[in-house]
Amino acid sequence: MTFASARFRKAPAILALGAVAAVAFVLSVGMGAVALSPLAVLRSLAGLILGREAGPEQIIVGLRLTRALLAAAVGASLASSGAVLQGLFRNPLADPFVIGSSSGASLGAVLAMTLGLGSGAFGFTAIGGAAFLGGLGASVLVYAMAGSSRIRSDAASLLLAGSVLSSLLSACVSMLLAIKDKDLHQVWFWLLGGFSGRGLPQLAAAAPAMIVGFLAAVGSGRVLDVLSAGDDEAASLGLSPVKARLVVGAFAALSVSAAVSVAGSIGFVGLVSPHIARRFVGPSHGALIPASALVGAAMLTLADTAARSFFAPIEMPVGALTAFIGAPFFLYKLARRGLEATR
Amino acid sequence: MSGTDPSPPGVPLLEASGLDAGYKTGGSGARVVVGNVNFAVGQGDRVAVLGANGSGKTTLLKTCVGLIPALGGVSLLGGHPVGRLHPRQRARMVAWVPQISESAWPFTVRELVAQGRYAARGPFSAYTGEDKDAVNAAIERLELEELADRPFRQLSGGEARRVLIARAVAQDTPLVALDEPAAHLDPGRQMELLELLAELAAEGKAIVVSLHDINAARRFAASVLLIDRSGRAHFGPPEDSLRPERLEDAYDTEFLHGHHEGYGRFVLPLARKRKGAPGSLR
Repeated sequence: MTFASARFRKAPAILALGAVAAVAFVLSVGMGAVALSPLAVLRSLAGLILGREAGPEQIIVGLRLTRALLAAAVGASLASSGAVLQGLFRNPLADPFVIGSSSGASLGAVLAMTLGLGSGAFGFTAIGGAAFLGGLGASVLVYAMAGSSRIRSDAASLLLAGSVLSSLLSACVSMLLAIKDKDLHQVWFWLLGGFSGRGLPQLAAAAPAMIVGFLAAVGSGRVLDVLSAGDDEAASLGLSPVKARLVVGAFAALSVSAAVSVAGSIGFVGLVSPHIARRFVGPSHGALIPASALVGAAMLTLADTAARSFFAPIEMPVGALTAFIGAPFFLYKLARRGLEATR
Repeated sequence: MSGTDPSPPGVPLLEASGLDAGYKTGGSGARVVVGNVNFAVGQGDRVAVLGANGSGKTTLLKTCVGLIPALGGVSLLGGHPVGRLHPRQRARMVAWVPQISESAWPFTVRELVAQGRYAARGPFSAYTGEDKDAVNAAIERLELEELADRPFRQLSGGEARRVLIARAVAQDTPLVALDEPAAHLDPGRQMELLELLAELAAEGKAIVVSLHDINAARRFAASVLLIDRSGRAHFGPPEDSLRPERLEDAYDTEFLHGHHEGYGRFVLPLARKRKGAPGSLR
């Protein structure tokens, strides 16, 4: 038995997760007010890709395609960042929001809405742009605290600092809303998260940060493996844990901020996808991170499909629906097999 | 076991000079646990670190290998101050075997042993045939083939210890420092462990190991570093470091000193010196 054979068993698992994500994608494009068969969807997709006319469905497919792409990209970003942050903090409870990115992004977006900022630049809407900057700003703040004090020395303190900062920023959001209550409805829906009204420009604006973040996440797999046994052991194996947390965490913050700027703060996906992925590919981050991304993409694509079709014409907030469907399933699995069971 | 003392040409692998080991306390304070330690370790050396519970064996070892900053003096790895080495450079010179390892995730034995290759390969380069061979050789060496695909967390204490040593073997360093690897092992397992460490030393690795069993240390080590109750370290051949009055003082315990024709000197703890009357167990 060699590394290769151990890794080989992971490749089919990742392929299978990829297939699930692809099926979810096609289903998502097919479902809606005008339902299309998977075959019709595939035909139209082929037409779009090859630049050929393939019937009137193509217009519908084109519209839904953007939305499915958004959901998949945001799901993949949140899930892979979740896996990275759980590894970075050695904590199965960590999620993309522990380093303050989510609450920072929320505060940014709420500020933009309550101040009535205008249309934006570089493809970002003003709200999306403010959310992106808010998310990055909050993470920088957490790391600045970490860099200037004893917090830098261990993962638990950094985690706690992030959580406390999140509470502070959430408190700011609440207070802003109390003062500017006429914006309540708009802000409320943004905070719940979702993809309605978002399109290609938002995807294009966020894509570079998401792609860079994802590549960095995949690249940090071995570092996260080595970090898993604690700072002393990581150091003895040749890694600087403080530097690793700083660099890897910064890329995770970038990715999360981009995702939140597009879709608002969608919880659950980032927390749970890595746990699901671990059951398929084990804990090694090199396989875990791409697998988590696929799980997250599939989960959020399906959730968004359900959000816009099950209660049509009312659209459910996708963040709420993700947890509504996912949480009972996850709890059931947790009760039956525990967190430890992998593969 | 021969008591030869192979002294390598050139620079020692590890050299502590006036080393103060301890912890920074809150603010700017610091507590020196073991002070002014001087010793050197060369290729193939077998060094045992002894001392009572809490005497600072682990602290001293961690300071020597650069996991805790020195409070004073210097620890040199291959002539370089350990604090100034890049973590990967350091990890190519010394492997550290902790008493326990609590990974946050259920890695398999093979995955854990493979982490020993990080120092050689770094964060991004793909593992090569050389890495695979090193991991497989380490797994075979520690007889872990049967356990290779089991989660590390499910192993018994003795098995887990072997995995951590395998990781150090895979790390392929000239120096290996082990923190009480014999703790909680039965006598047979303990002898097996020490025989393995002696084999590694015979192949040229320097072994620095903290131990509780004085007799085992005397049999294994060519040199002993004994930490006494006042935080002084006595380094030298066992017959010097483990002199009766030194032992009595370091452990606060009376020992019976015996001699066996085949195996040499041994000690038997008799009674605690301070608490209880001597011989209260008799």
